[in-house]
Amino acid sequence: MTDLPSAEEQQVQWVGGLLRTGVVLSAAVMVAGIVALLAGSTGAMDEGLRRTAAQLLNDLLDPASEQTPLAVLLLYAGLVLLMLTPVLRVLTVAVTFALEKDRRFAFLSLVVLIMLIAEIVFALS
Amino acid sequence: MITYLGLLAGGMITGAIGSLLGLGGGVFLIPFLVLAFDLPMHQAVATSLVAVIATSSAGAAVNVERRTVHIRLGILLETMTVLGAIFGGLSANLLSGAALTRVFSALLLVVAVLMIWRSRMPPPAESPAGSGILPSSFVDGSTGSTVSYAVHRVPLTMLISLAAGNISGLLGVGGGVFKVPAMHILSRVPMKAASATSNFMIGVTAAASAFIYLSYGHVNPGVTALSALGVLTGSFAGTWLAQRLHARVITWIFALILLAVSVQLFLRQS
Repeated sequence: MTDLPSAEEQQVQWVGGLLRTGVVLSAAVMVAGIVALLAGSTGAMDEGLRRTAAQLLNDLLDPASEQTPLAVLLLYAGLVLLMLTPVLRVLTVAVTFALEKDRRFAFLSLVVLIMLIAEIVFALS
Repeated sequence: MITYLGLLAGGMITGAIGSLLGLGGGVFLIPFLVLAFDLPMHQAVATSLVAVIATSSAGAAVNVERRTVHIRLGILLETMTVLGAIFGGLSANLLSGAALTRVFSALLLVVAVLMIWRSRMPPPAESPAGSGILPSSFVDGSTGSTVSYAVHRVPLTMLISLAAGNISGLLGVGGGVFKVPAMHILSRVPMKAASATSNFMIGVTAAASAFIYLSYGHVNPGVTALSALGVLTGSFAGTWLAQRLHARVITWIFALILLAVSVQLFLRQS
């Protein structure tokens, strides 16, 4: 029977894996966005790149509005994925401390996570 | 096309330099974007924050697996750095671009002095595992020996982390230039663990204020993506170079470069 990994080993695997996946995935999406940027017409791209995240969100929610070029969508998606990677890392650490029954550090991790989520909600509202 | 290549190359060079000096890319990336591309200061700071997230996350993935990161200490200090970063990010968007640039040029001056001071200081005594709190250990890859240690003066280090987080959110740098000495000198954490733990934290610190900059419309997607990818690539090269070049000479060269850039940025805004 295979030995189960220790709590510490599990934390290392999950945190390391999440960070690596976050960086690779977000980089891949950004590279796709840059390829789309280079393949698109200069005028449309320049106009698209001037659109802020708020305008992009509006485009996504309102089908009648002017559509943001795919390249810009991909670039923003890659950037937001990258920005969320540390937030998900804190969540992962909180979960692993909870599984380890280390209540003090599970609580501290949750405090950090709540501050981050509150700030993101405030920023996007 | 030339602009895109310039951003990518600039990101790679600044990422390599930052990694070589253990500073992170922001300290060099921001002046590069402002001086070479005339990017508004708030956009340059937002770009730097995202680049810091990229390099921190990539480096932390390796350091966590090497067991050099003190995760508990990192979480404890993050309660302060995240708070500081949120206030830093909010206050930065109340300042004009010119004011932010002047504050940044002052930071470069402080960083240059700190770099020189650190290169001349003898290493502090490292604490045995029997004293302090939050005992931990790691295997030093260069010697193969196990290094055991504990953490001292945690409240003071938490206070410095609050200030470092505030500076990070305000100016788009990782804050490691303050966190690493605080952990190493005050808390007597071995340098490798202090550096790895700082690197682990700065991604979260940067993310805390990056969303604020995104909400203010300061994230230029093309510039940020190209710079972040460049810095990420360059930081790997910097790590490779760091093992082959003499630390003290490099530190002095780049401290002088930072001094020159500080003056140039300040004069630009006068």
